[in-house]
Amino acid sequence: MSPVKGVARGAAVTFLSLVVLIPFAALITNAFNGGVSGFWSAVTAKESLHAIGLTFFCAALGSALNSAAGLATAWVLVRDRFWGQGLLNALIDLPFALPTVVAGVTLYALYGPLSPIHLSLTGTWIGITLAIMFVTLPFTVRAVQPVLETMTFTAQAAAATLGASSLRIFRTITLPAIAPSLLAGTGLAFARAIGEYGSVVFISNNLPYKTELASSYIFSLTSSNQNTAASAVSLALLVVAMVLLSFFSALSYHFSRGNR
Amino acid sequence: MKRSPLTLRIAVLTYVGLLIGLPLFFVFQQTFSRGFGALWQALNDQQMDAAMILSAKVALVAVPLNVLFGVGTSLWIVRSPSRITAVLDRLIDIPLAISPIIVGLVLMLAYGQNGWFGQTFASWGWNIMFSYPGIVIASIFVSLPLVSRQVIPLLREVGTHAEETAATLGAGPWRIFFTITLDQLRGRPPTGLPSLWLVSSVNTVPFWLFLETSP
Repeated sequence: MSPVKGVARGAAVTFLSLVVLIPFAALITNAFNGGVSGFWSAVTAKESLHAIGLTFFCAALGSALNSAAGLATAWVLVRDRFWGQGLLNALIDLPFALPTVVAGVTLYALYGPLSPIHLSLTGTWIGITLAIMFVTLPFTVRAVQPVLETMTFTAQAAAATLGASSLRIFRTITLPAIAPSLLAGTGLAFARAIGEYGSVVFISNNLPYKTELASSYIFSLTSSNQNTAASAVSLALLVVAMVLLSFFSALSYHFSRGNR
Repeated sequence: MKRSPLTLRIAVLTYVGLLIGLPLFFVFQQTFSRGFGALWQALNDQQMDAAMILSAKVALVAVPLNVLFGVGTSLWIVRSPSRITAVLDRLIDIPLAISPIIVGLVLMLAYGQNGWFGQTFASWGWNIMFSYPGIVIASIFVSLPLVSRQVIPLLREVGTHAEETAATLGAGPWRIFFTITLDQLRGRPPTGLPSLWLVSSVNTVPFWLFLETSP
């Protein structure tokens, strides 16, 4: 029994009701303002489906690529020593520290129509995915890094003595051990990518039916005072994000139990 | 175990360099390309000053509240596990996964002028949305998972020994919270004030976009 239990519960309940429960109750009520059929027609509107589909496609692609790149980056940061390593380590956190709108403006300036390197990715899914990769890189790196740091690598050395190839050692010993944290990091990156707004809003160009993402679509609905439709699409996006997060966390739990 | 192969190192350096280094270099190049005079002028702009002061004011209130609510919620999850806290543990990541646009919309539906409590607050002379309190609430909302995700493992690590000792010596719960629990977390890098400060001020930015442009 912890002596500070009462304080903790008080703080948590106050916070949750004011900032989470009441606003989300308002969202759910608003989403069903037009009944279940109103909710459904708002979510399955052609523009909405297209925006949600593109959002999930780019988020999945970006976070999958970053899951591999993040693992490699964490590996190099932990297992390697070279000049400029500190700088590399510092660069990883930059997307966390940079306001997303600043990231968006920068990427637009760099890969937009006035690109100094003559590479215009505005209004393409490649540009959107690139922005997502920029924003989500720290998630996987920072999730895997601490696990790699505490790893002793004795099992790997034993396997190498017994003649196992590097690839086999990685696949059968290292990867299962880091799988839970890698999955957790990828899950967070994916979730963040679904909700990303500031960094992709400029480079995506927001063309309806082409490069409009779910966040932008919701924003355009609220701007034209269609709060009910905006709430419906938001709720649908939220539910899918929650299901995916639970899936990742269940998968991560499954792997961490397998390790014991 | 041998060190990682050189090709991997080069691949990683290229990837991070192109993805993050290049945009960063570009920001610096653009900032200083017209000399320090232009930079000084931009920093002295009145609107810019107002935005920076607001950002600092938001962080000033949001950071202490974040400590209180973030540590409080984490404490509840760690120290009295139950079915409610198991759900809470899942829910706590949600703000990270939610688009800032949805956060803005949700807060507007509850506290905005046409929202549930908008009229009530307006009759008391309070204006929550499109104003300072709204930005603070939004800021706390998004930073909560970042605080708890780092505080929860630390709380598990430090255990309850010191808290129980203080309770045995007759300290009240609030006193234990402020002098023992918070003190044990102090100085740990992720919970240090600067990182909380950064998180709070960085995350408010998307909301301004929403708060200022929506009807």
